[in-house]
Amino acid sequence: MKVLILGAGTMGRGIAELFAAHAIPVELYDPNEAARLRVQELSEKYPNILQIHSTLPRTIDHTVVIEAVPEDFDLKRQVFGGIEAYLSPEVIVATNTSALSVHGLSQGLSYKGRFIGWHFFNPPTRLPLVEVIPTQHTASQVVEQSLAILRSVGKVPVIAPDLPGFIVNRVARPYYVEALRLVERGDVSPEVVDQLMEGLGFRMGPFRLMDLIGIDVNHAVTQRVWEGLFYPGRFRPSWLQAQKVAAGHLGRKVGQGFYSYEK
Amino acid sequence: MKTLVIGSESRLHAFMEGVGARWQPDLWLYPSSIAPGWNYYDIIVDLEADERPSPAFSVLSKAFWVFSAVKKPLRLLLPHPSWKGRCVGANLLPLFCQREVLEVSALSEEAWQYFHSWEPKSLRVPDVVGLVSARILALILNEALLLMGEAALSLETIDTAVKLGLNYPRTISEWGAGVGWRHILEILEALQEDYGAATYPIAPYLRTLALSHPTFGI
Repeated sequence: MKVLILGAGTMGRGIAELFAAHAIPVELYDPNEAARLRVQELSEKYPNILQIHSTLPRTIDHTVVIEAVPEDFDLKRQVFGGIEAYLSPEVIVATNTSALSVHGLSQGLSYKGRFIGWHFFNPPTRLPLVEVIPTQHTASQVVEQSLAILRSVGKVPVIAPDLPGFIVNRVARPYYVEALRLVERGDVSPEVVDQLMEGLGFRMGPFRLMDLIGIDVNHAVTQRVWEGLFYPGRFRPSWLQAQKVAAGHLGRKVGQGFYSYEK
Repeated sequence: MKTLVIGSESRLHAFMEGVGARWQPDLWLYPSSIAPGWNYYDIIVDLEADERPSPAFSVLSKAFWVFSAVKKPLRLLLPHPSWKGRCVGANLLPLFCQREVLEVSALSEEAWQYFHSWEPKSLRVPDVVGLVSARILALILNEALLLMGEAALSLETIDTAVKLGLNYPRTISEWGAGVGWRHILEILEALQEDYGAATYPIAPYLRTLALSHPTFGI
């Protein structure tokens, strides 16, 4: 087995390390030099197992290609179109999208039967769950192979529907949306909401967690789920969250979100 | 402070595993034929005031009252505005009352200050259906059950996803059983009454769970 990963961002890097740690040969591709430099240490940690490339191989005959580029529909579509000519016939192509329609991403591709969603959770080396999302076109053999590959690297795959947010991002939405709604009305502070939810055993309250995830990222997922489900009132994105995004208060990564952080 | 807590057996039991352990109150199984000496107590807690008429409004007592006010806001429980200064609402449902902090609504600063000085581990929240944490949790559980119905998923699959993908402290099934599915349904019904079914739809399977796992007194 060998794996090709497209995109050396946070998720691409984590997925690459997951496979390398199980002694499975991994090639990590990213055209961006800065991104490649950030993962350089991985190739030193896993010599002969993990390789980093700036150009795509002319023949893609890997067991699986995992796309982990930023969560942008057009960019992902461009990547899938770009590899089409080089793919060997048996290769599985998995997208690590967190909320985009897997069916939508596969439209028009000649390899729709081998196309599937594998949604890893951050950090992929530690969190065991992977949502496996087949489309109407995905061959059952590809689903079975996906489950087997993921189990072989210690993951717990669950088959999720190709619906907005799949399982996890859908079920988690009220944790953020309802908390935002209560705070928007000025009835309660983020600190109190966080203390109450943490008191119930949640590791982080919704506002601390949004700051960690990135308020822009969280807002975008809510927006996608809301649109994808045809605008249900319960998922209406928060104006407070939108204002935070517009102001650049994106959470921990910039030192300011619902809380302030020393940089 | 001399404290009395009234409620059904299972609710009293849950309460005494949490906040009750530090208050060390007298307990009164309600309804019972032998009424307690109402005037003896400084603070009286009614664990089910939002589920049936509270005896608070039919007895003579100078006590400060703490009402369960999750399924019905405190302002809708009170028969007269004069009560605002001598009571608070709280989330006294199972699991929630077993936290270190107590979630409390108050309709006057005077009532809040009085209660908070007695129980410093209390946090003031708005007087709305579900208060804060039960409202958020009920909606998470309902969303999981809505998705189950839409996508023909098993609750077991959703439990696995929630536990391993979100790192939640309990699965959907465990939360539902711990709090009581009936309570979750009744919070959703109260939200729906306030905001409409378009904003807060109720998962059909939630009704099934509430009926098939009757939590009786809980």
